[in-house]
Amino acid sequence: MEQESISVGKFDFNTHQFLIPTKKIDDTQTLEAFKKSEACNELLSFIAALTQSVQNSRMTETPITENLKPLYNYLETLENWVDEIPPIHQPMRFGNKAYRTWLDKVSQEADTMLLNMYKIDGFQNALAELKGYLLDSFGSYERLDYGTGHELNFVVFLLCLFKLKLYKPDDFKALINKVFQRYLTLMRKIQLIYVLEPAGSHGVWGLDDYQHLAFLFGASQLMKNESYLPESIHSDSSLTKDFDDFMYFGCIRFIKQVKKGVPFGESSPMLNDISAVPSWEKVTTGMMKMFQAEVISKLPVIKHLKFGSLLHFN
Amino acid sequence: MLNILNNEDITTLDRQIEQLMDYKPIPEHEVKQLCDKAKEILQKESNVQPVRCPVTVCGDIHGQFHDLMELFRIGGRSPDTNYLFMGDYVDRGYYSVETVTLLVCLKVRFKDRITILRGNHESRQITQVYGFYDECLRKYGNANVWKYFTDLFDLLPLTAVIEGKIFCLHGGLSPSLDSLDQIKGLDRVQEVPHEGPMCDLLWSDPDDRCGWGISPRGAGYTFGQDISEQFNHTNGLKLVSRAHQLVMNGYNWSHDKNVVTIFSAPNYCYRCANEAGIMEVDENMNYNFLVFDPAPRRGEPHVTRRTPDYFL
Repeated sequence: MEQESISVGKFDFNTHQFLIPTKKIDDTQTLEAFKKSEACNELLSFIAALTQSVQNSRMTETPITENLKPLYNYLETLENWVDEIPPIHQPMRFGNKAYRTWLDKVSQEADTMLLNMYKIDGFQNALAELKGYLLDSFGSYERLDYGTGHELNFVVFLLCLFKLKLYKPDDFKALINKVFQRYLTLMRKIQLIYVLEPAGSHGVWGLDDYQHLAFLFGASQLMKNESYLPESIHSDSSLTKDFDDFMYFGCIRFIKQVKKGVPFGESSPMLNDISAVPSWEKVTTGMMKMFQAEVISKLPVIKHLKFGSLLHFN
Repeated sequence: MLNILNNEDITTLDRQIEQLMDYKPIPEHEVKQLCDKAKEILQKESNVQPVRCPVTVCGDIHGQFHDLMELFRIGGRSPDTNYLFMGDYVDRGYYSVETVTLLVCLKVRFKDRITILRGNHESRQITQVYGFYDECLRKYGNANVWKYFTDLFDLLPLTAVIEGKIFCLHGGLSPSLDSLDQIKGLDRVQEVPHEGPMCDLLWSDPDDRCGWGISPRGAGYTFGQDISEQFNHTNGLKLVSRAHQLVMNGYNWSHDKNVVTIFSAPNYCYRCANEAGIMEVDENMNYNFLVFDPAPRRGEPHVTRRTPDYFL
């Protein structure tokens, strides 16, 4: 079946000058310039719109949309490859080197897969720029680690697809509730199987070693929810019942599964503090403020972000 | 050697050490006095601080205070056992304040029995991102204690050498430094710079590839076996001992036993399931590694809730 998604937008892939993404932020001056830039505004607006789109929604009740099916299926394929590439038994410092075999496959097949997903005239011109973000979304090949910076790369990849008009604002809800959720389950599987080191983790003083935006989107899903308050995260029965409907619960449940034998208030003091916030509205706005302050405004974190023609900053 | 401690100081320090071992931070004004005393001691130490054997060498702790207690149970209490810590006391863990305060107390109380080097996390910029700053705010209500400690960090020695043979430091080698004498000539009393030899010593990592490489960390370099062999040969050393990287089994040889990585925070960040390691160097300079897991936990922590400003 010819994909209808081609009719979504009219981006001219043949005349647009694509760029291989590169790092541009290297000191406090460039950081300040970035914070005032169109690129920063665009990124934050995109994240805010995604957050808004999933307000008071359940993931299992959100259908995948036609425009997003290729992307959703792609993530499923990546997950199948993890099953095909089991961890190896060999001495290692940390992290399983089979992860590199998996990432090699993702990298080698990326052009073919992306071209199959988006059969559009001139789409090959966009490959190098898109791969600059996509291949940094699943952790570091060299360091065998994963963190919120990689999560951000995935969201920038999604932003690039949006700017290429491959899906529309109508798709945002499914983008988070289906595609992003699929990405999260893929990354949890990778963390468990290949034992990736937390990258740039703030330890107990961050939200979580691996995700930030998942908590923002997850809090928005629970806005206006009549059954759950932020303190519901302490109820293991709520987490078990609704972890596949609410991203926030899925994240907390995963933390509790991994960080065993230690009180939640010690392993996750931030999330423990946030559970005392009276409403999910406050949690959502707080998560956005925290993202701006702790990710966008912190040089050691944001200096790794890359820019090209779509997320453009000079 | 002139002893700067009087009897009252010793009584105070012993009380503080006991209190910290019970997971209770000491008051802000006592931290200030402690840091002032520690400054006097640390400023007399060399960039390449000579250390005698026997000594037990430890890697990253990162505020995992329960595990530091386990380390002392496994390795022996200070000062019965001599210790050399290779930095990264703070950030990430819940108890960075207790960890760094205890180590500095021990340093002041038994200065010839414990050596504490600087890690890349003993820095103002890094601690503002990775937790120590936030922890000080939470536990003291203001940033004064963070300021006392980060000012003290500027004085920590960068490296140590055990009996002229085992070179100990947090990160690794630098393309700007061929000899220990060059390291001795550095002006270390400053915030960790973003680049240059002092930065490299605290940030670099050994690598499977030969020569110097760009570090994916964005600071320091990667260095190959050829570099480690040459450095050890030039300086009459037999081993570079360093920390800075998580290792599954507590310690990890590289570069044909020219370099060893030691990491002393078990089950790092409560999730990595790694063992912790320490290296005992005996009076004949033989070394032996001890590895340990987190001790079973008893009781609840002294956890308080405080709503982060973003959520008010």
